[in-house]
Amino acid sequence: MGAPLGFKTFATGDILTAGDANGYLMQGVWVFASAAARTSAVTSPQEGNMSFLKDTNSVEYYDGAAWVAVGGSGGLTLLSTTTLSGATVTIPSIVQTYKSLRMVIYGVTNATANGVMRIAPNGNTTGSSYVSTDSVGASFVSSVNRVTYLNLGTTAWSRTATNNVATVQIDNYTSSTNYKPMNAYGFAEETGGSVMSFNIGGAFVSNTAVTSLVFSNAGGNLSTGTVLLYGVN
Amino acid sequence: MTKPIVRIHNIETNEVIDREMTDAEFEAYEADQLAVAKAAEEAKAKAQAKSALLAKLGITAEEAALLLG
Repeated sequence: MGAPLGFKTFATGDILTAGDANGYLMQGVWVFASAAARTSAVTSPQEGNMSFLKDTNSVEYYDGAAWVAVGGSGGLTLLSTTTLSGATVTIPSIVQTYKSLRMVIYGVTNATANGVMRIAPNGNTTGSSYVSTDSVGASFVSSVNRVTYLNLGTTAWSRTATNNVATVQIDNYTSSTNYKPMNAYGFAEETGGSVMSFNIGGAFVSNTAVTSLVFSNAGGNLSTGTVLLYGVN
Repeated sequence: MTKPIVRIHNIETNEVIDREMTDAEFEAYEADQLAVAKAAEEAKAKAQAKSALLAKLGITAEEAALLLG
């Protein structure tokens, strides 16, 4: 692949050489299925090359050393859309290339009984792994709870009501030396038609990098629900 | 006996696998369900004790909160 030659206005009668084609005409935005497909096709990228990756819908440029997302390093990238079903739902092998993980969870019902929605990073339920202070409705719970799951709220979600949503963020999730700050806020219908809003701050008390997330409902088998998982930079 | 189903979503390949729990997973699941049921029973008992005490004192929950505030 030829190095970019910049911009040229061709005049009538000019001869289009191979060098011109490679240096000028091939310098558009190349479309690939994935970063792996790009690596296979573009063996010697040049500074200024541009590409679009279909799997992540991202536009990237080559800065001379690496492919970099256009628009700077900040922003959200949708990593996955997961449909909840069964006793637990696990998202394994989470990439370790972002600063934080963010989840939006909604439309959760379960087939068994009312129960609070909960998350266990790395499937860790070894007691007191999560610390949190909770604000539920108008009341602020000032005591610090040490619990076995990151619970989304303090009381059971109605198992049949789909009017629920929660946003959860885990910062510093790749760290193998520090705890991970977590916060969650959202809304859920409880039993009997009453409603609950919650705002929970705390931490995942673990020095292990978060490489998987396990979702479950204390009431039993999940019937419906969606988890959008984002990487945050 | 059929064990509960667990779902694993590999987001690199977008492959979704639904399978029965392993014995170890089922053991942990049963222990968790027991803990949830126990916590619910404790909460129910606490609420009943609270109601009984309020009835004995002849005050409402709001009045009790005023006293404690």
